[in-house]
Amino acid sequence: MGDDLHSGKSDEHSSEGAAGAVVGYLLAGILAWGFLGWLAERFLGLPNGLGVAAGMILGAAGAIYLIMKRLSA
Amino acid sequence: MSRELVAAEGLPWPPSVGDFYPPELAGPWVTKFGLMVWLAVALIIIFFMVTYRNPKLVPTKGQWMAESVYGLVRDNIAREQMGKDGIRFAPYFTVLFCFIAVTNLFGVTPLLQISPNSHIAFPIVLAAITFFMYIYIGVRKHGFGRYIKQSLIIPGVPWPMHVLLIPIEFLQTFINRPVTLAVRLFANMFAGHLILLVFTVGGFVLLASDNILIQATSVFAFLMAIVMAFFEVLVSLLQAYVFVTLSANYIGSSLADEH
Amino acid sequence: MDVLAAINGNVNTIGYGLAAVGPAIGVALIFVAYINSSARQPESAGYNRTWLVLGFALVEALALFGLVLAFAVN
Repeated sequence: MGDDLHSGKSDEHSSEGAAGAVVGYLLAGILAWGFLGWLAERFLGLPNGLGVAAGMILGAAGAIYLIMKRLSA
Repeated sequence: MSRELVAAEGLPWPPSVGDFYPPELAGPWVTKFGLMVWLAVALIIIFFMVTYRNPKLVPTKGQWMAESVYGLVRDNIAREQMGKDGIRFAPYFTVLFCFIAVTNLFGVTPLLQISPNSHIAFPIVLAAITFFMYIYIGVRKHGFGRYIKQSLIIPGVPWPMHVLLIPIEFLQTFINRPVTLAVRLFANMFAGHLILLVFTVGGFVLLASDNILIQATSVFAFLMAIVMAFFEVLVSLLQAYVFVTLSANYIGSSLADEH
Repeated sequence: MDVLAAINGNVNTIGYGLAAVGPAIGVALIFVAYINSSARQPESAGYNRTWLVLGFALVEALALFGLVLAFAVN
């Protein structure tokens, strides 16, 4: 507690902004990569539903990475 | 069972989307919603003009109320979200806050019992103004290319990760923010009005039955309608506050420098 | 085989309702831990904010999966 191990400046300096950013990034990540996964499924002929699921999980992982980077937390 | 009651009484049960469209007043261009928006604008202009006619050092009651509203928006919203630059935008946020609060509160005032924000057109316009404002301010301060680069690319991230992250950032900044601003306001007002309709009209439907025990339960329906009306006042003010706070946050993040 | 009972209409909403229970409790537990630790030792509040945001994002992701799938699946 003496030195803050994760000190870095967060992009959002208000808590409402941070909360809105977390939910916004998550939703954006899941929707964007779910949609890209669905497109991949249609044009590449993957087994039914696999593209959407893989896309959503990838998008959620990317969104969580982005949240940790942006909000410096 | 409820269908027989409706046939007997002619009450608009169950409530549907058609209940959100009151009949036109004087031709297709004069609707109840248009008059309500004009009324809200007139009320805000008259309030601020009358209370600031002769400002004194020791404020009168009206002047104190106007100053409190402006102080709330300037200190708690603009200065907290945007720092010192926020004071330039405080008048716009005050007007936005007052307009959204007044039009939301029309949902519980006696003669006008619906809020214009329960039609999605009005929140779309308000969110679009905020959206174009924060993009214009960001582009004007940083230049178009640097603003896009600052929004979409994060320093200190290995290059292949950016392929994953850029669609997410783009969706979040340019699509998610205005859409969620508009839909949040619209959904809260729509749902609030629908809840009030359910409890009030449902109370009358229960009251119209033949059984005395069913008529007795209509008391609970009317009680819930009263409780929900108070809750609706809280939600109206809270949604105005959240809309203005998030608008200030987005404009502040456009003005922020590189970290 | 006779059908004894059936549900008509969109079953997606039932699925979403079931899926929202877990993340709701999870987020509440995370914030309980953060509030408790910040109350006992206020200096640790800034330090714990990392795990607050990380935990909230992970749990909320599952809730948003359910929300998106409720609308996306026909």
